[in-house]
Amino acid sequence: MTEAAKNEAAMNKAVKNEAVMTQETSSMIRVRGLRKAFGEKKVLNGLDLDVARGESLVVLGGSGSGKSVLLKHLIGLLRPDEGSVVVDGIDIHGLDRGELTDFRRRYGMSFQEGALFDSMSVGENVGFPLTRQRPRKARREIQARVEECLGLVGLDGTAHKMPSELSGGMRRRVGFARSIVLEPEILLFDEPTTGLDPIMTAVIDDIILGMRRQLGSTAITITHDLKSAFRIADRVAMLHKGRILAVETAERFQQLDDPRIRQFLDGRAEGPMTSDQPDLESSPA
Amino acid sequence: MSQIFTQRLEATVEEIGRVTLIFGRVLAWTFRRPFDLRQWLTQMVRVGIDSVPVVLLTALFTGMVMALQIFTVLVRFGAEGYVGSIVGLAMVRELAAVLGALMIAGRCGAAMGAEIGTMRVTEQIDALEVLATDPVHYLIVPRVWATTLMLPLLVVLADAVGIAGGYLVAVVVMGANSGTYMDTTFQYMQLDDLTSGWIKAAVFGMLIATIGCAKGFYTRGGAEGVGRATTAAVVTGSIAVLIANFFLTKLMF
Repeated sequence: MTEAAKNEAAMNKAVKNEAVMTQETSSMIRVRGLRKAFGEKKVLNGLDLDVARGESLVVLGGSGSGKSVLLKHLIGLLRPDEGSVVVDGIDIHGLDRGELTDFRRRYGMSFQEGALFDSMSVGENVGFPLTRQRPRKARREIQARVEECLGLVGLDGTAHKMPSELSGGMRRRVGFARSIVLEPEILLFDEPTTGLDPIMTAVIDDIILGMRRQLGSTAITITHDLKSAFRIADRVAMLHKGRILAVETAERFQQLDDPRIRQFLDGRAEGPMTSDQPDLESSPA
Repeated sequence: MSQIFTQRLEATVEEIGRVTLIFGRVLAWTFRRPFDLRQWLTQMVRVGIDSVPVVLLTALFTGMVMALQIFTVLVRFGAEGYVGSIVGLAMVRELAAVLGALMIAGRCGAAMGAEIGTMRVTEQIDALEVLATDPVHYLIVPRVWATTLMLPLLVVLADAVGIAGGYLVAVVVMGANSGTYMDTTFQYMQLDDLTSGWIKAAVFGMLIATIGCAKGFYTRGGAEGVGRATTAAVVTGSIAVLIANFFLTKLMF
């Protein structure tokens, strides 16, 4: 390991420890008793979660366990049937539509499939949040920032392309670039590295770590990529049956002996996670 | 049977509620900044300029067939001199606006339902919200007002082309007197006849765009949902035009 890499690792560890230590005293996001059902299907079932200011939290869970639904509640895209989401002291589901729209300026979010505006070029997509800012930035300034963000995700020179010309992984990276363009204080990433090669996964991980280190951003990431998860996480949470099963620091999480967590981490087809799965549909409200 | 009727009624009331809700949000967001000039211009071009050929063709052939039908009937009474008057009044009071609106419902209402519906199922509308942009403000406000503004302008052109189509058939094909035809066309036409058609067109435009956008906005269920939204945008938009036409005509004359 080079000296620079050692320093960086030490710095990351220090930032992680600091985030964990201050977590109890300064919650950026506080979720209490969150319940959400779609028809008969109960997806979130009284979920509690605290995310400290400046913390990087990774949420793990099986497919269809409600991770994306949780993320959408944290930014007010879905309204809970019960429970609350308090962000920096503000109950976001108590805000009216206009207030919530303004409040979202503090967030950046990337979607599973990128959710790029297909009528706009890649550059216009990434620059969109900048063009909505008031007072509006100069065009040259916007272009420079767009190029910078595209460069960060390894997509230099693609600003003029249309989303339909890109592969799935490239679209996801453009979506990621769009989410960080305003350098927001809260970052929500829905599987940012799925389908990316290992090098690009490491690049995205570094950007998430860098944003936290330089700007103190709070990041919540959903991922199935365990290597990436333990690299970027201060703490790791496991979502199961609409509740948080465990939240631990990345190191401690890997030592947990809960059979459901072990099955997930070991990637075994047989185990309590898979045999429990049908209960999710009929779990009590 | 009564249960099916109740369900249908509930669904209809829900649909009307959704469209009303969207229109309320359109009104609330219309004068708020930022104004997306590019969105407005794009929509005006799509609804207005791009629809000129289809609306004018509709008007031309409607004027021509009207002249053909009315001439062959009126000639039995020796009243063929009134063909121009009847064709002209029918076009400006009724046909240009209604047929033009039905064409726009098929062309633009469907496109709005499909485009916004696709944006819904691919999370682009969620992305707009996340980027602190109200989707009604950004997507629907320009579409509704562009259609409200452009449809009457299309109808002005359709009025002229419809009358020209009638003239073409009556004078060139059927051998009616050119001077008499032109005189009778405008002799009985009043400004109210023209403006009533334009006002109706504006209301139709507002209805078509609001319904098309609302159908797209509330799309659920992937590609199949987008298909349903597109069909519903055209069917509901067209029915709304026909129903509104009756009440507007009753109100204005």
